[in-house]
Amino acid sequence: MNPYRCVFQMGIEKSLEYRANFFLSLASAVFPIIIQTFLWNYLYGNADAGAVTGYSYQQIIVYTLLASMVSKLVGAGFETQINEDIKLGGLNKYLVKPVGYCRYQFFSFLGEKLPQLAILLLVAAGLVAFSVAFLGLELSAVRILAFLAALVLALVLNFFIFYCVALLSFWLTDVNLMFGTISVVLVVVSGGIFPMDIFGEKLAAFIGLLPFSYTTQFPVNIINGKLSWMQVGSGVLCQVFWIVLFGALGFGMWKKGLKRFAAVGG
Amino acid sequence: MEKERNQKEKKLDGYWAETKRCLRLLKVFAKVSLMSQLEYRANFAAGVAVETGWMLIKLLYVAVVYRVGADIGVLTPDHILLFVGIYTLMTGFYMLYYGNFTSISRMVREGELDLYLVKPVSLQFLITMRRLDAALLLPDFVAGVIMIALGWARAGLPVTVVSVTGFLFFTVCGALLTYSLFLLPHLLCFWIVATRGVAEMTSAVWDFNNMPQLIYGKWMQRIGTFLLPVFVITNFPGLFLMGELSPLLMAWGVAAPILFFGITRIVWKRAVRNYSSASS
Repeated sequence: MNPYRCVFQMGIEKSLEYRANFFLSLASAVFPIIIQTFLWNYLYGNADAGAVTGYSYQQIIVYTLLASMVSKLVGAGFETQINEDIKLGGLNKYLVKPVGYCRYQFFSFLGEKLPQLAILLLVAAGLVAFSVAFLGLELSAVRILAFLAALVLALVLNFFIFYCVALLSFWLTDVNLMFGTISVVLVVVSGGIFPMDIFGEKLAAFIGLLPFSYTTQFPVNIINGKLSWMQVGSGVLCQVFWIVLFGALGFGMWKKGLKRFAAVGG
Repeated sequence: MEKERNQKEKKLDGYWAETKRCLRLLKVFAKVSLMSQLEYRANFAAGVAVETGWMLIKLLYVAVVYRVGADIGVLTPDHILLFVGIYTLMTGFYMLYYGNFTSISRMVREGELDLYLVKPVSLQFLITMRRLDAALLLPDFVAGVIMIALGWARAGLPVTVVSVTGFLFFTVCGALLTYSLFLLPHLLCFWIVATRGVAEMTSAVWDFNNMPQLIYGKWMQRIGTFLLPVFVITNFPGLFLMGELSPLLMAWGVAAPILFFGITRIVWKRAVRNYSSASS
């Protein structure tokens, strides 16, 4: 039996085991959505906010409804585990087995995400249906497909970004303490709270050069109709480019890091 | 009659002596907490970094408001900066002892509370104030004060003895209310086991103060002011400065911390009575 299929299934089981936790974290994602919706209602009601942000009212509300969901979905969370494996020697048990550590983590991550994806897509479908019915969002089947494709790529990209961050544990002693800060900053930069392109063209151009916005802002802007097909196409190419780059970086870091690995405590 | 009066006086003296003792202990707790935190400096720095990261999100809301423009109803972006400043400062005060709240459930589950039950000091005080995290207070305090000062000056709000005193008074009331209001949900752990979700939900409710209450709908404002008075904590100092606080609301701003402290005391006593010293 393929070991990675087993790992994938274990990931699904792990995710289902802590389902109450997942539902609660999903429920707590609702609060920022309420706060932001009120904020946008206030701003769009009292000023010409659309002219400044570049988003129509409908687009910004759809963004608000979906961004924190997507951000939660692509969110990693395995970095502390990897750090622990490296620091406490738990990595040893993987090294002596005929499995690749990166692939192991990747399939475990995908398995964990699958049930979440199913639930989240249901919630997202509800929200999108609400947007179509009440906010006049125009949606085509192709756009939905493009969104789903970008979402999967975003998931993979975020895995590799956090895999590289986690591998820093080979070199830094206290990186575990910094994971909290890194995650918060990356959620902000990826557009998980507000779309970053509302803060002006310069910042938008700068953020566009970084990989992070392709994990949250890009997929959400496909579904709310903000991006043209041309932009969707180039965005997907950027996602693939960053996945390849971070994949290669992770591979290189793993090779170099393993040479430093002292297998303490194993 | 005289005997009764004497008893009352003795009781009052007892309360006063207990309060003085608690204040003295609080000073010791603060000193010991700071010393132990500075021993693990990387941890201290990480605490500051994490809190700064969260602050980034609060600042993002302000950035959005400034980006959209100067004229947005009653509130200008400068007013909003002031409100977010108060919210940031209050978060710092809350975070100072927040760790104690989250560890209550562990102490109940593992029976660690036994150790504290036998100590000759108020159990609630000891459990909720024994560790004070200056690393989390520091960034919020600095950023909060700066934002308040900037917002206050830029919005052209009055700087008189009355306004400053009133502002400080309602800030203190808010800080006291925070303690009682947000301790209540954590006391649920005496009855149910899983409180992680409760902690997540309460912090989500706390975040409603990220924006001034005036942006929310009328009903939400009423609920957040009277039923679950989270808005009282960070909005009242700012509303007082803006002259938007009616006498009724002022009275509520003073009464709410007292009322909720009373409720917390009652619930705490019931909760401890329910404690079964599980694992010992």
